[in-house]
Amino acid sequence: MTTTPDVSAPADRSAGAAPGPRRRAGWLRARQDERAAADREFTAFAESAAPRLRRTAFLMCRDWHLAQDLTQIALAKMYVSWRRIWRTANLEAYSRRVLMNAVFDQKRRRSDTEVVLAEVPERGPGAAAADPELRVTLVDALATLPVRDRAIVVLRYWEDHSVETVADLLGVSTAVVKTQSSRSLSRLRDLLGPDLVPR
Amino acid sequence: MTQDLRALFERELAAHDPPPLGSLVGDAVRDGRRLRRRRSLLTTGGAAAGALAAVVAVAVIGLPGPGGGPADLPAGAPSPVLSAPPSAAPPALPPTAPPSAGPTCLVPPRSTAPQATVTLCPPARADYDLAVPDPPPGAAAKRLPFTPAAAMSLLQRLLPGLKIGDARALRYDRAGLVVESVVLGEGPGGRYEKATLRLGIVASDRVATGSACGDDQTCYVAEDATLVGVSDTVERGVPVRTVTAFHGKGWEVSAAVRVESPAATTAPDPAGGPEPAIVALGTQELVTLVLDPRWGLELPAEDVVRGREQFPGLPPGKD
Repeated sequence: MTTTPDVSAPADRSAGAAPGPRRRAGWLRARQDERAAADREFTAFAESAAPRLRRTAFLMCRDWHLAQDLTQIALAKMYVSWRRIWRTANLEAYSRRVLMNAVFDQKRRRSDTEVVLAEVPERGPGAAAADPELRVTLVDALATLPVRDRAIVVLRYWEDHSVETVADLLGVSTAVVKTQSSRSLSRLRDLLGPDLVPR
Repeated sequence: MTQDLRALFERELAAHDPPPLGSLVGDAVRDGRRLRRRRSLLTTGGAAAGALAAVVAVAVIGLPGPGGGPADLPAGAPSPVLSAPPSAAPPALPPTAPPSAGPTCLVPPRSTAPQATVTLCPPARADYDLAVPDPPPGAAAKRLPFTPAAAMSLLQRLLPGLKIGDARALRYDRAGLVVESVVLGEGPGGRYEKATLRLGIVASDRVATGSACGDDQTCYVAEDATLVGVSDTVERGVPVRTVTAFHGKGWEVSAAVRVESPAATTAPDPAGGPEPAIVALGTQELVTLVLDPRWGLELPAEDVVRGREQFPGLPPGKD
């Protein structure tokens, strides 16, 4: 955005002007350069962040294609605000937050139409290793958790964030993060066995 | 434990074979551009819709009460109808309008048209002088396509008592322009106050006049500028007063003043709403500003030339 430098009286604005076409060309070129630079920055960021975001999204939804869509939605939303955010300190955290919002939105949209066809079987200790055919994967077990608890587990134990960061990303208190991560781990332990989810 | 669970996550992810990323980034950029375009359209449309809603609300409130006269007009008050310039033909009235009631609304000219049209009335207030300012001598001389710099130049001429700076173009394309600037002027307490003034000249396909009126448009009889909205909103806790006028050729002019001084908002002005931070930017001044016949998709040539000199930072337009 081009701005005039100072607030001054109308009479003060009598500085000489360069020829119109040259100045217009300069303004347009500067604007195009700025846009191109922002696009380059965004593309570089998106290419580096997309695999990580997609893995996180996959852990949240168990579906690579949906994870790809969610990643694309998150990146598109970041693109819209890119000129405002691209100089912020923590684009990584911002991208995680946008992704989680996309996951929550998607979950909310589909919650009325999804039908649960089967429950993940409850497993006893040691059962997981005993029968590979019936083995419950961590991703399946994660899917049994409410979406916010799933986000807490993924951000806390996969993304390796502190309790405070997770609370900040999800907009909840640290107490909620601690309580829900403890409950979620307990639930995962029940499903996968204590060997797979150590205390 | 965290490390163990993380290793478990990694093992789990390694077991799944992810599809290639493909053109994910390119698609995201394309979607982002589309979202950005839609958002900017919504912003413009939302402002116009807000102005329209305000007009409809005021029109409904201003319907004649049981006593006969307009609800909030004092006896003897001038009718809040756009007064036509001497050279223009008076707006046609619907044949059913009682002559004594006065032309309180502009109505669709094609009453037999099957579409549902909205009849918009000017705000039913006696507080504003809705006369279209007479153009100064020579104003009908050469006009050139609008530019942000020219709009700022004309704005400066229409508001001579203000210091205007930090001008920037928020939008500039074939369908309209929006310029924003910081203005300094004398406040109600005699002290210099600061406000942000945003001016928009935007083509609107929602309105048309006479035979050009389409099926899904709001139709006006008058070819002249018509005040259609005075609204107060709050942006990030700061009051903003917006005044919008439709001009006869299918485009609208709006002026929004963002009051920067909290002290100036404590005393309501006679027309309702917050007291303007700057005396010269009161509601009546804004009404007169947006009704000025010089606004348009073409602006006086002298403003185009002067704008280039006075606002070199703004896009100068096509020569």
